[in-house]
Amino acid sequence: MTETQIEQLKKVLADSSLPDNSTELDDAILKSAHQAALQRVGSGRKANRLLALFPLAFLRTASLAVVFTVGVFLAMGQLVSVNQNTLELNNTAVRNGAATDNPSATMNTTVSEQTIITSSQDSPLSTVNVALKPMPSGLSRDQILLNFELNDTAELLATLSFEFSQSGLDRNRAELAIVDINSLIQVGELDNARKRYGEFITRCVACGLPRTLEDLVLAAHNLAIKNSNFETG
Amino acid sequence: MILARALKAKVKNKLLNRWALKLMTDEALMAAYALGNAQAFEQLYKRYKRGLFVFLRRQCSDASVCEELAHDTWMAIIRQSGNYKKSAQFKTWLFRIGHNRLVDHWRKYGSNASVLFEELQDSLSIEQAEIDSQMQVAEILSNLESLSPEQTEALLLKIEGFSHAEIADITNAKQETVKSRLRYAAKHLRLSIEVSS
Repeated sequence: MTETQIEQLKKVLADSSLPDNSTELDDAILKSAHQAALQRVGSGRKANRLLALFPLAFLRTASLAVVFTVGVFLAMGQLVSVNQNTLELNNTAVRNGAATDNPSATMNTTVSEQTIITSSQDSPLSTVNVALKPMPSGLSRDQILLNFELNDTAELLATLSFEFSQSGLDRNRAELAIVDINSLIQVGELDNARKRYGEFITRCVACGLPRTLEDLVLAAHNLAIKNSNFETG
Repeated sequence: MILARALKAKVKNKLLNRWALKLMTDEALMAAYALGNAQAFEQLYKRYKRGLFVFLRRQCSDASVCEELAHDTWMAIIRQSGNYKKSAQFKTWLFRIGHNRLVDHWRKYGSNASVLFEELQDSLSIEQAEIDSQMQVAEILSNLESLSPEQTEALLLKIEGFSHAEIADITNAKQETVKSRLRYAAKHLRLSIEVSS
């Protein structure tokens, strides 16, 4: 369409006698526009008031931070007291042999004494939840793993079978994990064994497994001794 | 004395404000309205109420329906003024909303664009003696009744001063489609010229 044609049409249409819209329509639209503007100004004032309070908003954050910090401290305190009340590692036997340089030899002589003490506490394996600290006797975490092997996997799993069935964890995978851990300990890759155990327990949080591999090793060992005592009468 | 001076200052401010509003662009007025300045909206309404109404009126036969469409369009502008982006031209936005309302109306009740041609014929019959070219246009336009509503709308928007891109934006069509609609209208126009000559 050429510009001339457009101009001609424009001129004709500009001269058109088409009437305007009614004044009622004008009134209605302008009234609505005024009301909307008033509302906007009102909400703007409200928003300004809220903005004025904004600098005080840190109070809420600060109070939340205080509450959380106190909560975390309380929870930690609770956890420590619980740990102290649960199965405590009895290192008396270890302490007795601490003077010697060969821990394995020491352990051979003190197994019966340790058995008596730990069996008297009679804690289920699932509640073993001791955060293992370096032994006062000087027996390190590595030495625990090397001295007390996770040799009876089947028995250990039998003890844990209820928890496995509850948690829905595949028993075969658990068995595989313990076999892996055992073999890693045997080849001396203790850190990898700990890592593997860490992965394993994250998959079965509900099982209530001990937190560290050392706890599990000691508990399994105690359990084995307890069972052998029971069998021999 | 103080009162008179205050009154004078108030009147001066009001006049200045009115002048400022007249000088402001559509987009600036819309932004001012979004902040709660009702006078800015009044200015916008004054600028476009006739344009929009005539655009709608030429495409729907019933005046009361047309008023309703115009009312709905302006109310949509009022409601959505908070979301208005300065990058979009106000006039394009207004006509796009008007177009959408019109299309909704067409979907419900069918289209009737004959108003435009009747109007043109009436208008030209009064001034027939004055300009020959206008008569020619009237004859041409009387043959344009066969155009589809979309083609008529494209033509009206072109007359309103919108570019092809803007018409495409308003009617939610591709630029090529708009061009072909206008080309089709021009073809009719040429044929009519040939017949009349």
